[in-house]
Amino acid sequence: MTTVLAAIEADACAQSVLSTSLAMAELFEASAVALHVREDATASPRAVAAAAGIELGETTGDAIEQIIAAARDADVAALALGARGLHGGPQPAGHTALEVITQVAKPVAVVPPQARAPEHLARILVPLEGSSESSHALEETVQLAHRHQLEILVLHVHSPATVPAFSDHEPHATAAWEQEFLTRYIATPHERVSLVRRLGVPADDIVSVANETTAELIVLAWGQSLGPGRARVVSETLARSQVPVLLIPTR
Amino acid sequence: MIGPDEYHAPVDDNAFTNVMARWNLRRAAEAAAEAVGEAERRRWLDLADTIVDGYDPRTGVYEQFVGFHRLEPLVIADVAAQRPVAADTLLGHERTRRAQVIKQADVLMLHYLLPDEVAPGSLGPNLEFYEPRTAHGSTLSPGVYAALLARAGRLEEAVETLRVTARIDLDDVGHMTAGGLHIAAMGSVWRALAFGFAGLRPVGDALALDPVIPSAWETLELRVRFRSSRVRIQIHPGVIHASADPPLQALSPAGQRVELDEAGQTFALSRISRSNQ
Repeated sequence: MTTVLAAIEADACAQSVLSTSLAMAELFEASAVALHVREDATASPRAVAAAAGIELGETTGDAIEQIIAAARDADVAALALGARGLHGGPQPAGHTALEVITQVAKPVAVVPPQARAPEHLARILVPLEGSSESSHALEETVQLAHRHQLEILVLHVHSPATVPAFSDHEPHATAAWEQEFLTRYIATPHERVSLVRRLGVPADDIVSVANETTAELIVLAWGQSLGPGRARVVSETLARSQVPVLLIPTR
Repeated sequence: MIGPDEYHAPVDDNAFTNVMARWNLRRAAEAAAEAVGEAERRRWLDLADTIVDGYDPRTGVYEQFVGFHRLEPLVIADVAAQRPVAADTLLGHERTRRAQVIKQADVLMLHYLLPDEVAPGSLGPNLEFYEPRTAHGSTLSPGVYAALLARAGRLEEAVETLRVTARIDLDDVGHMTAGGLHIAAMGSVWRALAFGFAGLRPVGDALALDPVIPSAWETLELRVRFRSSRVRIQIHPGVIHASADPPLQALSPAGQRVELDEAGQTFALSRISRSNQ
């Protein structure tokens, strides 16, 4: 049985994580299951899991080790967990979340503490910087979204160095550029895919466009490295997003 | 009105448009001398004489349109690391509209299309002023500049700009070649070679030959048809050979009227073209 695993704690974020896992389960054509790792005598999130109709497994031990071990199960297609606290922003992802997203080579949704958690997905935001590596990593998720008739908003944020060279004749030039961008970087362009373009700082625009368009999920490809100078867009998006951020490893 | 520079519209007294209108009125008066009355012909010529062109003889620069010199002074190197660049996307439409940033040659289109209608010696000052302000945000732009830079004797820049034009679709510079090839830009490559580097120009019934080619080029060879004559031109550093069938009047690089025939004539080239003197 393919599952989406919701790693929850007995806190205010649990409901949002469970809700996100249910929405993701529809996307991944899976069932949602929950896991709670008891590290001490803290309360169990049993009631909130039951209210969501999700089977809860409980275990003990080191939370990071247990979540990673559970996520590696072949049946687990994806994972959802709370961000809780953050480095470098109002809600920097907590230690557990950071360890999990860098070690689990599967799609992981990080749910902000005050997230607008979706019950179902209708519109997702897919930022693309325009590389075949990211495009390839996101291909399966985009195809699933297409199959489930989700609206896919592809966001491309130009920097001054990547502004198009020409704009011969509008609106043809813009239409031709956008069509070419989608053809290159979205494997299955279809009528429910549209491109949003901005000029600015990627994380700023990702967060603002997600808010403006009421996208329920941000989908980002990344290399699973948070070292110095790496994954700045991911870090800043996690720190400030109001909606869950689904991270897809590029390798 | 809107001139070739589509970043600024609407504008008043666009130099290119006004000079074009003036040229058309004068050519019409010339061509229709027998078809319209003298009063009408005189009225066209009087109208042509009243059209302003924004030329400042102190600087040698044409103001692109009324108020252009009061816009935010800006050169592309201040805001972008490279050209070509769609400056309106980079700066936003509003700032672009208020700045001295142009999409493509506007005043300089006069030097490109109607070199006899602009003030003698004004190519250099206008290139100096407008070229750094040109974003080349149109694929039609660099080819025009390649021709003009060649005419001005700035051959290194001319070749570099010609290369940009020639590779627009080969390198998919704009990331939109899949949407269609830039045929007009390809045409501007040929025009830059013919009218810029080879210096071909109709002068009455004669074809003027005034080539300037980089020393690194071994040969530039062109075949054109001028007044029903098939003309073959071969240019090597320091020498040009031209032939025509049937025979054709031509102006040699030294400005002498000659007749070209099938056997052709060979002329020595001075280092600097006449148009740049």
